Amino acid sequence: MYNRNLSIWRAANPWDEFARFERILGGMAPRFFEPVAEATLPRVNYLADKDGGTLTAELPGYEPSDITIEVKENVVSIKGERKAPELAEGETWHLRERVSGSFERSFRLPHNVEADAVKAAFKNGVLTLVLPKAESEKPRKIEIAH
Amino acid sequence: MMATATETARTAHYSPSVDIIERETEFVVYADMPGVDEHSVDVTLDKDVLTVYGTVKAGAKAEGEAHEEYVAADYKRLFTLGAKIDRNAIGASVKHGVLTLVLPKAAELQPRKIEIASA
Repeated sequence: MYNRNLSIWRAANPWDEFARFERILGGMAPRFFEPVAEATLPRVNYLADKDGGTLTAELPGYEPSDITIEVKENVVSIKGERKAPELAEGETWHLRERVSGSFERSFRLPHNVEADAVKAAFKNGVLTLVLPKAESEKPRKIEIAH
Repeated sequence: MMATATETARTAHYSPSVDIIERETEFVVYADMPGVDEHSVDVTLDKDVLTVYGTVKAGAKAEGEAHEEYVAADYKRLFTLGAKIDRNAIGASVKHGVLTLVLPKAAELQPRKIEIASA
């Protein structure tokens, strides 16, 4: 049972929703990522720095054990699953906005990744991946022979 | 709306996605608020309006190339409570960026088993 219009609950301030939607539409155009369908896949940020980059993904309610991360060359894949709350006999949905089920996203980074040096942390429903550049891609100083 | 992405993010809050379930003796609300913990969420009740506010630290600034699908911003959502809810017994907890609110139904609305007096 799913009833969005039940009178005891109503979300106030529709402008919040609008602002959020507008912000996403107005977001930066992806350059090396595939487009994302809003609200069905976790949202991801990637910031490059001189040593590589940091990827963060919003995964609220996921257990770390339900998240799989794979790194190969310049491709990072994140898989995960979270279950919807379970309703017993006689219990009722009044509002159901949170997405559940499994997802998989892959990102092609602008650099190859040193897979052994990747660091992953999960805190407050946010996954943070530190993705160092492969050693072979780092600039090297060439000594001039005397 | 002429506001750019960043201007909008600075002035607006996210409205967290929410599930609401009615169980036998209570309502349960789950709100996705990635980035918050139990110290950074405020739940306040003013008359019939329950306000959920989550504070999130701003994310790092890009030094080089960046791909941004979200901007770390605060969360805010208001709910209007019906007369059914016992206002003095509302509970809240946070785990992995999900706020859980438990709102017990007022005692007089809870199902009661009537004992049959023995003859």
